[in-house]
Amino acid sequence: MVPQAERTSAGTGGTDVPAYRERRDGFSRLTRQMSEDQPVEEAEPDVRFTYANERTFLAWNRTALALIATGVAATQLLPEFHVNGGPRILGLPLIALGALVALTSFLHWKANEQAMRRNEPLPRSPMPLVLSIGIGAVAVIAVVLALIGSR
Amino acid sequence: MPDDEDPEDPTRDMGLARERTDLAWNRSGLAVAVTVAIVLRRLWPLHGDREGITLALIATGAVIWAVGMRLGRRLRRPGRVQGPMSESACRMLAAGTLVLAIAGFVGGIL
Repeated sequence: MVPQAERTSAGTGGTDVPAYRERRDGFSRLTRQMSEDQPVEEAEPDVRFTYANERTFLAWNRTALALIATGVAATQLLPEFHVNGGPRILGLPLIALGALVALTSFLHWKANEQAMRRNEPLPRSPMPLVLSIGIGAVAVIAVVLALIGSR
Repeated sequence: MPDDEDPEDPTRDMGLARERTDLAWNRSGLAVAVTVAIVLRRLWPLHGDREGITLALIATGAVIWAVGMRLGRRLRRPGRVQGPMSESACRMLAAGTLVLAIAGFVGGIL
């Protein structure tokens, strides 16, 4: 049996596009398919997969809420670190990251839902990477502020 | 096993997916309550227009979440097949979180 990702690559008519590239570009693939005129076959997915997609969406939303709550708590509770607006420098990026996560959670849920209905590979999301980099950057800022503040 | 499932039904949910999803919805509701409490703590006591705007945003976000959760619960009733309709519930939850983020941002720069 041919793996699903390879079948997708073959289905686009070119062998020059590797299957992993096709998977990585989930959102643009979805947009491209929506713009095509030919009808796409859709079927009701297994309800367990629908539930799993919903739980993933809710988990991302809770992550967004946790980022927002942490950002607000940072602006309230942290000292000034001898830097003007120190707590805000830490808190506001976290809140902005929370807003981004909330927005993309819905878009990704929708893209997953459509892929499952069309029996296609699930699109990949850049959000785990974005979230890791965002939290890492805030952590670095926190260390710098703490070092400046301790002088 | 939930009460409404037939033990003879071969397609019954042995993985308890619906129950786990219900619990995920409950956890999300709790997360919203905690976030609202944290943002509100910053505002009290109320004075000035910015606090009023933030309070209005928090209330809007909480109401959108409550309506979204109610809609989601209605769509997940036993015997109801999930379809594109659940998109409206998910959209409302994401919008509610976004409004709460805006409230947090406005509250954070007060």
